[in-house]
Amino acid sequence: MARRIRLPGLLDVVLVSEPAEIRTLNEERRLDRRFVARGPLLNRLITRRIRKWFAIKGEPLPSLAPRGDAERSERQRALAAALDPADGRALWTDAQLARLAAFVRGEIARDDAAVTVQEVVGKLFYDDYRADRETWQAAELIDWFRDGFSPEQILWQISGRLRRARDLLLERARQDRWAMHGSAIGLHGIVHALERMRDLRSAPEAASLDEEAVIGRCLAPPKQVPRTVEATLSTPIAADHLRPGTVVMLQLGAAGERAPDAETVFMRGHWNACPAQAFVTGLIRAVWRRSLQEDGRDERGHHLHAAAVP
Amino acid sequence: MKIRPFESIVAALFRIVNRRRVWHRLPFLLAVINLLALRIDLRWRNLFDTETVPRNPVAPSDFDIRRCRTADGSFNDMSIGWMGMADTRFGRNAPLAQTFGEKPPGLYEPNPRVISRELLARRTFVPADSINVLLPAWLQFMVHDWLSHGVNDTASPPHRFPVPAGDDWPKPEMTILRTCPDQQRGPADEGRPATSRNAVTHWWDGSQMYGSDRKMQQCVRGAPTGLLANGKLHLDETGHLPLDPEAANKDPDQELAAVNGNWWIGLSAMHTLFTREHNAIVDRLRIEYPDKDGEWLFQKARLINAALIAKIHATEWTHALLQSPTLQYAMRASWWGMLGEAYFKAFGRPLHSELLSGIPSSPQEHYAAPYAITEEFTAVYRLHSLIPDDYSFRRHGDDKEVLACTLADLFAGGTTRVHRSVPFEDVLYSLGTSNPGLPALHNFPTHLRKIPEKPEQGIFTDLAATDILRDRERGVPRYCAFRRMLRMSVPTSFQELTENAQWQRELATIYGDVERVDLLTGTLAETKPPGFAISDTAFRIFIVMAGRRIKSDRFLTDDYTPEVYTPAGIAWVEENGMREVLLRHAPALAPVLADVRNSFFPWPRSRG
Repeated sequence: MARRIRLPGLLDVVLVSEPAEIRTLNEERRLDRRFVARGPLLNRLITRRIRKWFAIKGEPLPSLAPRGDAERSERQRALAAALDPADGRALWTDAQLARLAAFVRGEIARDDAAVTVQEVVGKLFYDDYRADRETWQAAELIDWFRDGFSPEQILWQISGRLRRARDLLLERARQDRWAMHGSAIGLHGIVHALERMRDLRSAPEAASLDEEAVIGRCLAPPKQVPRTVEATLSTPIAADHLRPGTVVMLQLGAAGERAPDAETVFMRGHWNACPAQAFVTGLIRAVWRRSLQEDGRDERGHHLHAAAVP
Repeated sequence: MKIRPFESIVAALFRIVNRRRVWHRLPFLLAVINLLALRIDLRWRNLFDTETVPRNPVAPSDFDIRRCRTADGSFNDMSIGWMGMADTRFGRNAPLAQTFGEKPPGLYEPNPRVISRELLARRTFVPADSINVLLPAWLQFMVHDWLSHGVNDTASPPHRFPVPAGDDWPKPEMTILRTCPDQQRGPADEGRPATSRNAVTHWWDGSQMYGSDRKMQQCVRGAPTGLLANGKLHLDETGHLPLDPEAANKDPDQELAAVNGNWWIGLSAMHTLFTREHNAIVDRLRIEYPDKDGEWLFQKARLINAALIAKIHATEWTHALLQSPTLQYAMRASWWGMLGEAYFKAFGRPLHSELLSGIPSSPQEHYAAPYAITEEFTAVYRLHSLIPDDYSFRRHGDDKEVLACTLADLFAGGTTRVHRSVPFEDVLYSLGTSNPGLPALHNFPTHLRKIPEKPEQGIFTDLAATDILRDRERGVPRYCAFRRMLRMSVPTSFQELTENAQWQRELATIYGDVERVDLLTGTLAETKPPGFAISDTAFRIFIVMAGRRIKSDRFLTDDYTPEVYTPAGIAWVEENGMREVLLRHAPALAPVLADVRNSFFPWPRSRG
């Protein structure tokens, strides 16, 4: 169900929301994340914007780096191994877990939980990473900017608000591309999952869902990720050829309704798989269990005191 | 296939309108357009595919897949051979993340037996005055064509929950076998909700009569002496279905049909009628094509019979179930188009436009997902309340009662015993002149709440409790969540759910929170649109799935042509209806049916 929006000379964007089409296009080598400014005018602006705001010293953030980037793929592998809770490394503290569980129980505000998430993520990269309201608000601004277009965004750029937010996050991330991606962009997936968990927990159906169902209900992919066409491409999703410079938006959010699995949420099994899959899933699972424990229930929702009765 | 811009606009426009006013409260013309808008919306937003690694069937070399329906339903869509075939997964109308099956403790809350006893049990029979018992018989006949979850899971521990104190259930706890799990899950399914598979073909292809595999097809075509060479289905010398020597229920009087579970007199009547119709079609084709062999005659008769059944359902049965002028026009338009039957009879279908000329012969389309019957469709078709408990068999000539019995007497082999004492036309007459139950709270058949499975061991089935549990087990959203995912208004209190003050109190006592109300209970309690026998909630699934069963089927769209059906075949479908079928196989009913506008409306009773 791809849609192509084409205004000759001005814009050529393809929106793809069908899981099978996304899988196919994601493996298509003529689609990549090099973001060379070419094609219609607005396409050039889109790619320039990506390169300007989502790169550090000319190097793109890892989620926007091309498939052939050897450093990206190497770090991706190393991170996936390092961020697996099953390895025994403490990836979060008990106090952090308690705060996130408190948010899920509706006891603390979203911003406080988000700061904690940012802190958890930042400390994966630097033990002394410090998150606060200011860094969280900066990350939120970056997320709004990344996720769409609005006249307000021009004001953010003119006023320097966007630059200041980016600089603050860069400074806390020590100019590290991976730390910057995690603490400015990646964390939003976790925050959104916790928000869904909080809603779910307060709904009557919470008692009817097992842990896997809760994780399946809470995790969701990013709304969309961009690609650009590198060489002329003929594909069944579009009537005409896709020409170099055409922007292809893989709409993972819409695809997630049809395929709510790790392949869609984390691109598992693909060259661009999220290295934090095990970490995010483990954290979400731990928060859910903690929120139930403090309610006197085990991970299946059974009351602990009842289970203790012989 | 993509949504067209004007479709998007119409759908969006009516989404706004419906925030203020529901479709059935609009003037006729606007209501018709609103229904079209709802169908567009649902086709693109409420069809979800659950297959991850679908099967890859091989086209049989000795069978004309282009012009005949395969036994297992494969290659209906020539480019996606597995679509709709037997043993493929049920699809969903709810977004997949919302379809995780419920687990204990919530799975058993509120207790299904309590719901069965306090909310569903029939106190006094409440009839649906405007329809007859052929309507639920037809419905079950159709459901057996479209779906079956197969045998339940005997390998896993069953569901267990306590029976409340003071209940007359023979045991202190109720056990219900689980739905058989999908045995073909793979790594690609990790993290996804559980799935189940349809044991029969998903298509509207008469598989309840013709089987969903070659072996069963041969079985129903076989007389004791072997396969009938003339292309007919086997009937005994009295024109009834033969007995099934291998009946699963071990009842020696059980009639044979490709799907003969949950057999009762209504189902038997429908199978008998349309088996006779198949044989009548064969006789007609043999006159036209004397040199064709029995296999060809069988396959063509099957195509024609299945299309006729689809047409009767769309243009007659649905109109009886949903008696509103808007629906009458809309459903007839789905077959003949907005130009109407008269235009069709004068000029045919020159336009191949679904809107103007109807779905048959318009292009095959699947919209947002490959065709499959959905779990939500299964759920909203739980209409057991339609079944009466008591039956009176009367002579069509003078209306004199010849047999009075209960539903328990009409189950399984009981049908054969009725056929031995009551002529077929009197069975039809008796069903046609009786009212079914109204789908509402407190109207679930008593017999179906205590079906004797192995009574000597104290094993019974409460179908009402089972219905409740099945929806929860299969991840069908509960009532409010169900409406939410269909973008309908959601009741925030029991007062908003139903106008019946007593039901409000009863529901509140058992559920406490309106969000916990089960889909079945909610749809039975909901205040229905005028003339409707089912709820507006169930109707939304009906809107999308009713048209889809035709629109996705190559044999009812692209290949609904004289070349595939033969000219005589197309004429048979277009010139016949339920009334003609009834009169062909029970001609003695002609005086009774003389003034009957719709065969599913109550027939007049004969005067002695």
